[in-house]
Amino acid sequence: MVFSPEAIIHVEKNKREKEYEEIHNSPRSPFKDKDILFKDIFLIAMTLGYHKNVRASLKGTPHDLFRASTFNPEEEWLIKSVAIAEKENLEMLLEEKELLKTAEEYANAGILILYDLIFGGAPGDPLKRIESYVKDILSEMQK
Amino acid sequence: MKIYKIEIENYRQYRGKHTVELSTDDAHNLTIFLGAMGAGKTNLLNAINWCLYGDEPSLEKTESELQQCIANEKELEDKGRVVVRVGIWMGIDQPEYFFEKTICISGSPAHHEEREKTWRAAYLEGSSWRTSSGLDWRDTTQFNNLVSDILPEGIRSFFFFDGERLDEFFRKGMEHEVRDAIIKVCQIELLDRCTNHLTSKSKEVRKGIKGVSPEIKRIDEEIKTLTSSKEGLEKEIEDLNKRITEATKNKDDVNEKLRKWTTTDVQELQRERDELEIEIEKLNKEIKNKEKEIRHHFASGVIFIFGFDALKNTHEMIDRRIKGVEQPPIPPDIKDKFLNDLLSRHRCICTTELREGSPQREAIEKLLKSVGSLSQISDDATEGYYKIANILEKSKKFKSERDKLEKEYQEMSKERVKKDQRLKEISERLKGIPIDEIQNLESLRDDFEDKIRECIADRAQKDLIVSTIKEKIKIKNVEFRKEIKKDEKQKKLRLKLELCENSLETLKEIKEKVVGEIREKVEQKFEEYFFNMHWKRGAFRDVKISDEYGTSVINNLGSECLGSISAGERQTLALSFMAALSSVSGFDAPIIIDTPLGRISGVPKEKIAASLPKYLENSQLTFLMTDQEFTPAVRDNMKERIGKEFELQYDEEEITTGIIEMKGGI
Repeated sequence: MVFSPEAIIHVEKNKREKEYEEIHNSPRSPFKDKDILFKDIFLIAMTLGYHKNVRASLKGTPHDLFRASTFNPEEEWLIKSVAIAEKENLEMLLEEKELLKTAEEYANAGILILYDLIFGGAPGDPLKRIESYVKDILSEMQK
Repeated sequence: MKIYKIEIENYRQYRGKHTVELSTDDAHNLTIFLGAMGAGKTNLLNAINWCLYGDEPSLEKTESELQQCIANEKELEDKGRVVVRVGIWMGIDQPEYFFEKTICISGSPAHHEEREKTWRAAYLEGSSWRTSSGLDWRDTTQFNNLVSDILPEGIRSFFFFDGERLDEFFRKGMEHEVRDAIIKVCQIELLDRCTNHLTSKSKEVRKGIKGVSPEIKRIDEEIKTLTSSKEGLEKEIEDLNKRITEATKNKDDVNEKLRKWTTTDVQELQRERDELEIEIEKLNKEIKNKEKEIRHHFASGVIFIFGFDALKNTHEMIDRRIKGVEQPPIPPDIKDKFLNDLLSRHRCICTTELREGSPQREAIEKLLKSVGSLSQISDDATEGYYKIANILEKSKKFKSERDKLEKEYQEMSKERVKKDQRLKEISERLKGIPIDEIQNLESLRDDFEDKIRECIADRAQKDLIVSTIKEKIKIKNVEFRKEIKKDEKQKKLRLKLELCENSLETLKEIKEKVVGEIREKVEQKFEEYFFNMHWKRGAFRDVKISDEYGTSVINNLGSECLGSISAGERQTLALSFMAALSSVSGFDAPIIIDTPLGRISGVPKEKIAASLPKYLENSQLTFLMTDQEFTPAVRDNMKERIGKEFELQYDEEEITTGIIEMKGGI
């Protein structure tokens, strides 16, 4: 199943204006690149939120960030897997709305962590700081 | 369109009246003016610009030059009052247009006063001339319109230009110059005028919205504040661009002086610095690409590392269902398609009839309901099973790939530090030479470099703020429209506003499309001229202008080599670019180049000279050359196309230049 053409990914309007905007456009951001899209930032935020096990429902005015149909098959399976892992149920594959809602909520919390990792004032390369979060997974994978 | 005749009277070093008839023969389309430095080559070009456009672009160099009197100083000193006059006859097959400007100057060269200015334009209609003239210098509309028909002011710099300044187009940080040139060629002033008109209309409409909710007022105020900050910043960016161009020119002038210094140690240090700068430019590009590669690899890979557990979990879950360890199995024992077929055929495989309402049919319908959802996820889960396995396998390489990229990046950075260090050493060595002028030049160069660096950093920051503001304005406009939609009383104004904004958006799209298409045309012509003119055709594969207006030259090995091409090749590239711009502009105007081979020496100069006749063979060409440029070998290579040759002879005592036609060649 691919996401339907009308399905839209939402974020909180104020987070679109601040966190997403700065991560996408600030020269201090490692993700300021014309080929890195809001979709990519959303996915990093979502997986970071999932990894840190933080999730928050969207509050205030929602903003349409992009269409879910722009995800490639690998990204689609990442989103599906996060929702399946959450519910421990493969039948989640039939619930498009629920799949996307889970993704939006993890991203909603994850974007704040991502923002802090980039602009929080810690010295050094922000990519390395983000990477340090996955050290244990990487060493597990090397085995 | 050709220039048939030029008359110059008392203009700068041209004392008295001088008449020059250029070659208008299509087979011999080249006219040469040969003159030493200061003999008046550039001022010949200035005289044409002054007559047609009222300015002297090649004079915008020093303040003292700008304050100089336009009249011949000796004549003014002797007579106290001088009439300066330049007249130009132009046409396709015969002189059909005539332009003339005069100015009366009185006083002395140091304290002079401009008195009457007049202009006159005429065009041939049948066999008689129709003229328009005026004494009021401020009203030059008809004159300007006639000039614009032949060659609009905005694009004249692609027809009348200084060959020594050409390669500035291809220096670092000059992409905006290439972009500006292409925009000028597009001739989209009308679109710009429409945009300006609609922008001010949109502002007016907004002002007309009264009695609105405080929320609308608030958003409107925010839009106004954002727009005014954006406009202010755009002006500042424009100013920074000018400052970068100016400082780059000045730095190049210093480099040129050091390259031509009388002692070889200075020349060699400068040459080494030139080479290092080219290498650093190339390295910087590679580092930038590597950084991009690292960012992309990270952004596209790290998500699967963060989500590794979830992917692994889903994969295991599907695996258990496929293996039948967990129920219901995937794929299901019975497919929904099979059950649907039975129902539509109204007969079971055991031949039992499945009549509507029969218990047998109801049993199959019940079974269909239970396997229905399973069938739906089955195909999806099976596909996912293999996709996820792939992702997990690929993710295992993430760390080693990232380490490799990081290592390559570190090595490049170390190399750059080494080269930067060597640049500093060269600068220190030059400053250590006990000659005041060298020390002064080097410290001037430092100042220009600092200025360029500061301006580029400042511009990057401002560009970023502008793009953020633009994004904010877009969001606020959407909010504004949403709010105003709630108020029915404002419907008419809302519709007007929507019309303005939609039209603006469309104009923007049209402009981008036109500029994009012209960029492609220029790129195509640019490549065509370059390969036509270049003597080592096999050495290069491609010439490109990117979407960001950066120029690249690809060698036969497929690598970018703009940074390492020779001065001669650079000049060929620049001449090809100008030829492409003039050709794409669609104007058939004469081309005049001041010092076309200025910076080239030795063999490349002769090679370019051999290629030059191929350069815009359908246009009338005029080259203003020094004797170092117009060597016997160069002349020999161009002789087939030369129609006329003139020598500019400067008399220092009389402060005057004579224009002598060399009938048998110079």
